[in-house]
Amino acid sequence: MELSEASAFLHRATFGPTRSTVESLCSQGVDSWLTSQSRLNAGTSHVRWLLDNGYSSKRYVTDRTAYSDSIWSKWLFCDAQLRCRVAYALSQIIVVSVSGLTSSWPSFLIAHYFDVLESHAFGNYRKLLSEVANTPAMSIFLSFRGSRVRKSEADPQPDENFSRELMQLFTIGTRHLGPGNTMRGIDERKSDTYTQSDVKELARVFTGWQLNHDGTNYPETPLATYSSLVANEKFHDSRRKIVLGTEIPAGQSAQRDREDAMDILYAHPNVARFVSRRLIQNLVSSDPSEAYVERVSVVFDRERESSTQLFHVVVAVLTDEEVVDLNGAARKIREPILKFSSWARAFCEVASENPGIGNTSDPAFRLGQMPGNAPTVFGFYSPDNRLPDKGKGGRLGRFSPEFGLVNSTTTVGYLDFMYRVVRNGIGDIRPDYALLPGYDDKSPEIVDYLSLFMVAGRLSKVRVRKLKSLLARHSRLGDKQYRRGVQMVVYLICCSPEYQIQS
Amino acid sequence: MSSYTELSRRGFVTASTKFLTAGSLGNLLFSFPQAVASNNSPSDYKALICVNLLGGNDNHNTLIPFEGCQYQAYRRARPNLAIDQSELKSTLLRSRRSAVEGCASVQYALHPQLRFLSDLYNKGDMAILPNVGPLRRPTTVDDFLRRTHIPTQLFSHSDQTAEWLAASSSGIGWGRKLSETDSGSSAIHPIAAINLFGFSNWLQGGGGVQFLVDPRGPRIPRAIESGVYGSREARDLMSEFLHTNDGSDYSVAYSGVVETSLALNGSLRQQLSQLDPAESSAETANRLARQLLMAVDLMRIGKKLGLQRQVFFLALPGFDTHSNLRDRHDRLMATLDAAIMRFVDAAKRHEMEEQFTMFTVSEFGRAARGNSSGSDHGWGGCAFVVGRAVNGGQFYGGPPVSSDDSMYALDGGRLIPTLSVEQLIVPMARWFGLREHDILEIVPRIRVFPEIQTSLYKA
Repeated sequence: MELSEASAFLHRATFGPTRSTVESLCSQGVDSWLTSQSRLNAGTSHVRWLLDNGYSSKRYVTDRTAYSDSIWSKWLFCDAQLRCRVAYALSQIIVVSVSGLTSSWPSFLIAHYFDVLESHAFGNYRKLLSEVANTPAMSIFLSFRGSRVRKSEADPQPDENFSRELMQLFTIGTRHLGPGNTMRGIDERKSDTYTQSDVKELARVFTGWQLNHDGTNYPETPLATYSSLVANEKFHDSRRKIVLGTEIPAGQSAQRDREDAMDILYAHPNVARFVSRRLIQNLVSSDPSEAYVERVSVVFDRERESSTQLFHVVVAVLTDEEVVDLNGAARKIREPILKFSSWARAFCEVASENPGIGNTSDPAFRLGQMPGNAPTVFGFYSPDNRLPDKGKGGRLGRFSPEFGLVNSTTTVGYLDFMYRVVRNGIGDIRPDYALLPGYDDKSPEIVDYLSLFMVAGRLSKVRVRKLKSLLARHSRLGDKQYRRGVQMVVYLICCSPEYQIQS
Repeated sequence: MSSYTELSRRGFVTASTKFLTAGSLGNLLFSFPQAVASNNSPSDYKALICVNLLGGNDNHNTLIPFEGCQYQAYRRARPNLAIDQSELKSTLLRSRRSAVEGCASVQYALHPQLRFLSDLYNKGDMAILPNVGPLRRPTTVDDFLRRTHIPTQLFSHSDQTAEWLAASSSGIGWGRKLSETDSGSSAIHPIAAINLFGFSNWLQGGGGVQFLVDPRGPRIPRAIESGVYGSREARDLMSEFLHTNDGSDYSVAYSGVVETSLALNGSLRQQLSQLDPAESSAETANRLARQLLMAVDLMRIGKKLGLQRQVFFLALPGFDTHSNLRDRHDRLMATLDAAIMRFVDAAKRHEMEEQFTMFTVSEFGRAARGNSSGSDHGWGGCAFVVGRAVNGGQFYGGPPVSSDDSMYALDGGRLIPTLSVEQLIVPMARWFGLREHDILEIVPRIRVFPEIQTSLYKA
């Protein structure tokens, strides 16, 4: 395998290539690398990280940033890169945002949610749905916590938030997806995949759930935020329900009802294509062919009962013939978090337990993106965003979800953020460019190395030549100038058109 | 005529390949090729300001019956959410009484935090649309139950937002369409349509990319201004890199935004620095006020540049109040009221009071009947239209509809709109100066709705 191929693959499958991952991928080959990744578990939980670092002290009851230290610490440095990368992808489909966690201990709530995603990143999607529905984070974010059975006219009705988004955003979507045709055009009247009635019935299913205080006095301590929910059957609506035309019989417990409802949703023919397309868009390509989506959906459906379903789906996504055929071609705009993480993994070898990166959500002064802090349940961007149309009255632009983050504020904010970061690092994340091969000799080949790692070797010949000249001029001026020259080259690659794109 | 992005790229890049410093961009906004002659008479500046309340504003706690069986019905529907009558006295809406079936006509009030807005209404500078929303044609409960001619994906945030802001114009936002029609082509002046919040359907469309202005002030990269780690040579390379692409669609689109942003941000920054004082430099924690104050400055700049029409998109998130409604909604109402007050005050100081229409939009109202601490998605909701030119002090498009109305109230007290989005767009488009022919192209569906007897604007 070519080094540039390996680098490109790692840009899709991890948070960015490093020397050791490029080497091991090249020597093992893709299949073997994927298999060894499948054996790596999620490591220390984010909740455990918070506890070990003192965040259960009452001082932090409203903290909503600390969890991100644990996330960055793991995602930037751990070996289980594929698992974490997939967890990140899943977090953009089944969205919980800390900005919508208005209760106590938001960091614990979302840390637990990420733990669940990481544990199940290679598992079964159906199982993942149940697990997520069991998290305090989801019950608060989509407000079904405390939702109760309606017994009389005077009672409030069950909360419909989760039941709607569960169907619209996590499983089925709003359009029928057909074979060989990612979006079916159907007569408006028949186009509803679910109705308001389904939303209402499903809302009745998710009644009776509460945080498990387990004797503790929430919110005095955060224990309830990372324990599974408990059902108070007194508040659960155990009457008969009909969801998507299928009956859930009367007299069942909250948990049984939930499992039945999830089974009904999971059985919908849309689910495979819906999830597959999102994973392809998130990992590899914004605008996959219908055939590509279809091939991955087939794997999803084939493995639907399997406890390693998502691993097989991800393998299909990453090794599909379309990926191989178009190797080197631009396939999506890189999201800001990955532009930053690629830099960090390429140049900051010393793992940090406490990255101290802070809130990166500000679009003018930071990245405009932060894991776990999307603006709404729709995530950071819509999967249906497109590039601008081709000319007046011309054809529609290609799908490009990440283009929704590209505007006159974020493009400048990114350049300013990386300007500081490339030179000084951020928090505890410090680059050491002296470790780069060719640095000691002040060899111009260092530019080729940078191109390989940062853009899978795609930097244009013209740009490579100009960067080498720039660096050569600085080499002649001594060590300090050379060091600065290397920083300039790294920053300039961060500004290059190639760096904004993932191939 | 080429699309906005092509025009801008050609114009900017060829005109100033080394446009690295803010100074050299000073004249850029002036030198941008103006589109063909506008339809409107000269010195007739108008601005349209869209304030999107994101999430679905709870209409039942925004426009509230003050008394009588209407108030009782309101209380009954949401005992744990209803606002006490005693709190509504200072936001009473004067001189409008609405008859509702089976009830004596009653007065209405606004949410207690909407003091400034209720004063505006009482002064005649604001109209209220009690029950507006997306419709395919006038619709009743029976129509809904038969599922005939109703919008698809009701109650979905993304779909209803698109219904509101793209109306019947096939995916192109009507905010954008109004700008284009004024300019006579799809090329519009860079600051004729500005987004102050973040991507919106309202300004989406054609080959263009929405121009976003950060309410804290547009910026250009520090490295462009002062060099890359001390090197001007590296800075020149940076500029070169920022103005090329790798040939792929994605790269072309990305670098297109970068180029345009660098050029426009620089020009705009210079223009803003010449305002004395700049309203947008005021410190405020109110996120809507910050956007509105920047809008005021951009209006001043627009007028100075000779623009006759501008549209602005702003937004306030947080309205999806499935839970903790009283707490969250009350605070949002206070934020909204305070922000609009600051805007109107600033507009007055710069003699632009007669020159704007501001309207609120929310993807849907909510169900009258609450869940345990909040309310779920509805359909018809209320909207405000603010401006001295507006025929205020009226309920435009009909009286408020009760949550137990037999013709228009669905299960849970979700209201079917009795006024369509088109019926709001049309009078505003007319005020904006569009001809009937052009208006019909933008909102063809208006044909199926009746004319409203009273006018939205003063004669």
